[in-house]
This record gives sequence, structure tokens and C-alpha cells, in this order.
Amino acid sequence: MIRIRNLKKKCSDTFTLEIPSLEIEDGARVALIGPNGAGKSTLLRLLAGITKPDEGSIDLGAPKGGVGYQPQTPYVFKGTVEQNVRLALSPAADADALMASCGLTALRGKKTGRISGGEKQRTCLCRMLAGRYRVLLLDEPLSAADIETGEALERVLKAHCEETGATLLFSTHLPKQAFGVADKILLLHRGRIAEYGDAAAMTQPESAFGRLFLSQWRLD
Amino acid sequence: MPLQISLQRLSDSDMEYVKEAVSLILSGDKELWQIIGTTLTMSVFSTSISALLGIPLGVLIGKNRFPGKSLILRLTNTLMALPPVVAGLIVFMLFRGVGPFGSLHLMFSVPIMVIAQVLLITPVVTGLSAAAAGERSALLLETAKGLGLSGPKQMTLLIKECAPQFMSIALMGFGRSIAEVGAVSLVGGNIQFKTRVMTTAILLESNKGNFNKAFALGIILMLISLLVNIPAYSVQEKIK
Repeated sequence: MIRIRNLKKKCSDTFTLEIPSLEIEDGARVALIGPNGAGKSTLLRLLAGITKPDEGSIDLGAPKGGVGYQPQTPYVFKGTVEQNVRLALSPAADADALMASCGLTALRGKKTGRISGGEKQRTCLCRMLAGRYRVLLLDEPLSAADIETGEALERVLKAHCEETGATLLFSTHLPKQAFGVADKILLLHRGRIAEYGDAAAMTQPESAFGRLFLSQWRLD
Repeated sequence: MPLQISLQRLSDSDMEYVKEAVSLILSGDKELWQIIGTTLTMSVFSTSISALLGIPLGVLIGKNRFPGKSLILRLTNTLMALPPVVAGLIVFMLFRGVGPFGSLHLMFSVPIMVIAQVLLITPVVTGLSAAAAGERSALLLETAKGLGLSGPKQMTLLIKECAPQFMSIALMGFGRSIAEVGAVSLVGGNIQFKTRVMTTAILLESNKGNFNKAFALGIILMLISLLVNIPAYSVQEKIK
């Protein structure tokens, strides 16, 4: 279980992320949503240990090497698509099957300098899944995918988490993606949790901001 | 037409220089081959040492955030503009008979020329490597850390990703080394069959009024640079 206690991170004079308490059960799939600058990326970076909190504690409940994190614009390394996928390949993972599920079989031998932005994002997602991490932290992992590819990858991501029992936290700006993949929704607003609960129950948000945000979100 | 005449003259004299350069190479002149050998020895050693010192140092400066980093970068950038004669003078003062390292008796030898060039080239290699590594390191290392890769693996990836830039930097260092005259003439002394290199030989021939020979040596120097750059460029294209 992921446990956050009294977390505080000041990012600028006008923005501080503050989470007094948060618990996420093992195997949960949590979509982080909220307007730009709400603190989604900051929270993911803190959870991944990329940045340190000013105060408070984070317990991911995963062994060393059991946490995988992908930044918003992940780096695609030189070499082929397959070399990238195999970079942190877990012995338990089947790279060929993963590449097939992410639609990368035909691209496996292609140099990453010669693939499109969407293909790079698929490569990065596949690379993350190949690590079979206990906790997956993904910052807008499908933002560059077209509708059809995005839907296919949503299914792959969901199926992977169900199969491996991995806990997933991912940020997104797409309502369909959030509700399609996640079973929990965490709505952030100005560095604070505005709503957190089951995706199904999120149709009736408790806070005024939650009601406003989600109503606008659905209209988009 | 006066312009045509002057162009014709220039072209004729160009051919003379080329002919002289070719005949110099074919003549098997012992001194020429000694000069080429000393030039290459000095340039290869000074570039290699500068790259071995400057690239890792540049990567460390570029990829890390620490207090005083901007001061170090400014200092490095200032040293990048260090005049060769000043570098030569510093080394001369340190290694002359009464200098702190005078007991090593290195003055007017190839090793002292290498030392002067290392002093000259290392800041350039360090500064450019820091810029190359700094540009990529933040995102690359965040991605690599996110994948749970170990520290040494992260460094290996960073060096691999920046390899073409590092190679360009090393080649630039070689270019600066092979074309440098101020520092090497000051500490090397341009001694025949000992410390004479292409640039000091060109200077000497020019001073003697042997412009044909000086030009011919210049052409040979350019050829050497070309011969080093052609295979290096192919390797660079491969690792891109």
C-alpha cells in the first residue's frame, strides 16, 4: 500500500503541494486529474523519488527497483525500438508479446531517431511495462497517441495491471482515458486533493471544485 | 583584363605550392617526416589527455547541480579563451630551470609541449562537454532513474547518448592542437629534429622568406587534418 503522510513540497513562491494523508491500496489504478499546474507531475516525481519532499513521508510499499516512473516527455535512447524495450527488461516479462500488444512488432528493428512521436510514446510505454514494476507512475503516458492507438494502449495498460497486480498512478487530461483505465480518481487543485475516490462514484463529486471541474471536463 | 591576370597569377602560384608540397612528401625528406611525426605525437597525446580529463569533468559539471556551478562554468568559459602564448608562458614559468618543476628538466621537449597544449585544450573540452551533457542529462537521467537503472548504467547511457558530440569536441581539440603555434614555440623552442612541428616550421620558413616551402608545409598540415577527420567523421556517423 502507498502511504503519504503530511507531504509538503514548495515548488515556487505561489505553489506548494500539500497532502496531509493519502492511502492507495495495492493493485489500484489511480488517474490523477486536474487543471494545469495542479501538482500532478510534482506528486508523481515525489512518489518516484526524483525530487525530495520538504516535509512528510512517502512509503510506496515496494522493494527497491519495484517502482517504475515515466516523465511527461520520456527520453528515447539511441538504438532500435527493441533495444529500448529491453533496457530494463524483467526476467518475468515477455518482450516479444509486449511489443506485439503495443503494436511495435513491425518497428522493433527501427532506429528510434526515425520513428514518429506517437511511436516513441508507444515504445516508452512498452519499455515501462517490460520492467514489470510493482508500482507504475506514468505522467501523461498516452498524450501523443491518436484515438485508436490510445484506446488500444489503454486496454494494454489496464490488462497489464490486472495481470501483474501492479499499482498504477497516471496523470491524464482525457476523461475517457481516466475513466477507461482507472478504478480510482484523484482530483488535484492548486496542490491539494480536491477529490479522491472510486471512479464510479466520481459522477457525484463532493466538492464544489470537483463538480465544476468534472462538469467542464465532460463538456470538452 | 587586370583582374583576370591577377587570378591567373594566383592560380599559377597555387599550383607551385601544391607541386612543392607533393615533391616535399615524395622526396622522403627526413626532417619533414620527423616534423610530421612530432606534430602527430604531440597532437594525439595532448588531445587524448585533454579528452580523458575534460570529458568526464564536463559530464560531472553538466549533469549535476551544486553550489558554485555557474562560477565554475564561467571560469571554464574564460579559460576557453586563454591565449596560447599565455598558456605557453605559464608552463614556461613553471618548468624553467628555476621554476617549481624545473628539476624535471622537461623544457624544450615534446612532453612539455604536450603539457602546454593540455592546459590550453582541457578547458575547451570541459566547457563544451558540460554543455553537451547538461543539455540532455536532466530528461535522460530522470527517464533512466525512472526505469530503476543503476548509477553506472545511467552514466554509461549518458556518455553513449552524447558520444557523437564528445567526438566532435575531441576533434575540435585535435584541430586546436595541431594548428597551435604560440605555446609550442615558447616551451618547445622549435629545435630541429627534436621539437619542431608543422606550425613552428611554417613560421620559420615564412620568417626566412621561403614562402613556397611554408605554403607547402601548410598544405601538408591541412592534409594531415583531413586524413584524421575523414575516418573520424565515418565513425561519428555510425554511432549517431
